[in-house]
Amino acid sequence: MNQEKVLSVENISKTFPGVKALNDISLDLYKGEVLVLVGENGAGKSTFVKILSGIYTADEGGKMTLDGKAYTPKGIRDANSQGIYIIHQELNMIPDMTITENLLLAQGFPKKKGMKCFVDWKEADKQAQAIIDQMDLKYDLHARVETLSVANQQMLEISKAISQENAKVIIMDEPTASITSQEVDKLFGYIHKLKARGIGIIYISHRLEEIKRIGDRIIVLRDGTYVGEKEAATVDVDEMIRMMVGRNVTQYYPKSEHKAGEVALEVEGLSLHKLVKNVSLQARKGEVLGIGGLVGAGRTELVRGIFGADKIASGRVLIDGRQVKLSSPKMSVKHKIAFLTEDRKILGLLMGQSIWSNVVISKLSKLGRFGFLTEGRGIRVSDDYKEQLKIRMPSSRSLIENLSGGNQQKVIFARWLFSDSDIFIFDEPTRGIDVGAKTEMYELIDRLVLDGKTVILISSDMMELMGISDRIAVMSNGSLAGVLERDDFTQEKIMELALEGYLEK
Amino acid sequence: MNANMKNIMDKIGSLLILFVLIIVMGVITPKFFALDNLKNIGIQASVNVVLSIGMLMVIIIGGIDLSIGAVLATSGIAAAYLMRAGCPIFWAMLLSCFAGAALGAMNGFIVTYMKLPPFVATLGTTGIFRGVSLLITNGLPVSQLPEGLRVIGQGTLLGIPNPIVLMVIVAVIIHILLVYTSYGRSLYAIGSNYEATRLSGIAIKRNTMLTYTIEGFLAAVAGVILLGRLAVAQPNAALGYESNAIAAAVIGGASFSGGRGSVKGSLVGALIISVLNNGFTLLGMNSFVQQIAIGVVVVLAVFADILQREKVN
Repeated sequence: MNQEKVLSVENISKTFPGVKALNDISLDLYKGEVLVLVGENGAGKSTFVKILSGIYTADEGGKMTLDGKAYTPKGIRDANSQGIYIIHQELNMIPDMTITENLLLAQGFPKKKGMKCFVDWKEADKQAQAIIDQMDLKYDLHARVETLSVANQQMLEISKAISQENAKVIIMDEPTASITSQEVDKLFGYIHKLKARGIGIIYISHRLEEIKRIGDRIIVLRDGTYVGEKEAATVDVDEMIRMMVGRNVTQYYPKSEHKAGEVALEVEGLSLHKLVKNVSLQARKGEVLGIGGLVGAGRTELVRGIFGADKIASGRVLIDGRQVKLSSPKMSVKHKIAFLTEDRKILGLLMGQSIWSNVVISKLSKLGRFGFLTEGRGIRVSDDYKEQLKIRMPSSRSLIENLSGGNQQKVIFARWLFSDSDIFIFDEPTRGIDVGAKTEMYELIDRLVLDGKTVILISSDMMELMGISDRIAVMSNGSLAGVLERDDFTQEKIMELALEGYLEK
Repeated sequence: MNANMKNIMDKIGSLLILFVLIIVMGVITPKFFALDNLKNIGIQASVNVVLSIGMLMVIIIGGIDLSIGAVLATSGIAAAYLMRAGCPIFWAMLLSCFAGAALGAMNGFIVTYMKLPPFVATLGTTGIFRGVSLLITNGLPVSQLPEGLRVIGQGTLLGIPNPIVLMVIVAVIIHILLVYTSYGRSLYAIGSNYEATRLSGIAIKRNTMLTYTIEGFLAAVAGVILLGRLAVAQPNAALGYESNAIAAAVIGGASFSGGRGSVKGSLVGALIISVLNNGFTLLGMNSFVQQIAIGVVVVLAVFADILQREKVN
């Protein structure tokens, strides 16, 4: 590693409406260095690399310098042309196209000599072959990408990014999330070659073993700010966890004394076809069972399986001690389970429909007999909730898209209150809503529990999770790593459990 | 106030076009406002209105049905054969409507359980239905049907032609179904956001099946009206009617992305098409020009809708 800077970042901030995602970040990346970024969910890692790769624009006032020149990427293509490449955690391949096509799509296909409008496929295959040869991949270039396994697609993605001649910085966002240990070895071998070429690498991973193996320096982010820096080779894991989680409490969590009653929901040995393996847990009446873990640990998948939104591979679900078959959301709603989904826009809101339609959809039968209903009744229901939940809206007839995020979330909350459910699953209920609305959400959850309902809460905000849960079940890499009682809640313990499943690899 | 105005504009947009058209036609062709002519417009519109209301329901859930004309023809043939076999007219008509429902259910099955995109599914069944009716009739019209049949097409109730009466009955029932029942509300939800509706515990598959079935039933009702007017069942009846049915629904504010549209709108849309046809015929204009005019109206009506929507956002 030499001491020549390839990238220098000074005072970069990024503000989203209501949230400061990144606060005054400064760091240097040296040539031939692997700089590891760590931090819990929402610490700002993704925001930071998105600014570097031109997907987001940073707030005014900061400065980035790439190879001695001012760097202000206007988009991902612009970032690429200046030498910064990113390997996303999610795959960015076009499944219906062949490997050759995918590899050359962004940079452009080679053209036939003298006939510029025709692609020279022989040359294209040659170039594609060169790209996959770097990583020793033995794929059929004419196979469609969707025929490859996820791990193989990930390898393809990696080989595409590292094959760029002009690369100065390569960002790897959890590149090993879905590949085998042999492939990890291959990747690391190649990273050494990249280092020798003087390319700077920014590496994001939860896997502590990996970090020690491949990293040079570790930078810890927390709540969008720079916390500190460690040498990767000598870092103490406990110390790093403390740096990741320590923080001042700024949010108030209204929470009464809860008296947990009988078991309302019991899950036994639940496995899904993807990720979730053999999870058993219980949620009782009158308690908030928090579900913690890192993004990608299988929290959402677990509750989707319980709710019947996805098919389960094995295991069973008991409600009030009786085994039930929750094969579809319809069955679950019948058994009085409510599911407030993570992605409001895609999985929750009925866009283009009125507010009242959005409220009553979970239980239309409550609006009248023999399947009949009137708009008037729907509006009355929705007006009631407007009062009860303090939803700020012009009228129940207005379209849902006219409300702010927090108020939209309250409408969906109202939807599930209207369904008279006993068990409420909330997946990231406060994401993207302002502080005031968050506090109101917490109060609502508290009221439900006092009424003897069961609440299962997924949250990536660890303070929130600790603030309102009675117990926390921590997922790690698809398995349940442990369940903590409220007296035992500490950020360190939760983080240790959350990382547990990633250690042995 | 502003939002209210937009709401009103949203509701009367196509109605305004209809009024302007009626006035323009009335001014340039004196015969237009004659009672007989108005009845004619209603009778001509009736088949398309019934078809477009069925189409509307399918469009609301985000689907489409290209086979609607073929369903009409096939169920019409069924009615004709039943009558020739001595089945009383009323029962033959009713059974043919259930035959239409069965064909609709077949579309629904292919879309819901075999998971074909509705466009492709109904493209396929168009061929199947049309082919079957051509095969069993040998491609020939089925005539020599009982005289009593004409009551449906040419009789009147309290002075109102029966096709108009039937059309109004269908419109009222489906309007009530869409606006005042859980089933109707869930159709808008399905079209607006399929996955969110599924996760809300709505029986999406059952509702989708039911919608295609009702639509098939309505296509057969339209077939009954047509049969009553012509007294002949043709295997090639209603060729291309699907495009007019789609046009009427879309002029009336239905959206191909689902979740929007109303019976009132489709009614107005179908009437706009009929008034255009009628007025142009009175003016002695080339029927090809009529097609151009309808095409222009479809494009303009939807464009106006898009402009308005962009302003709102």
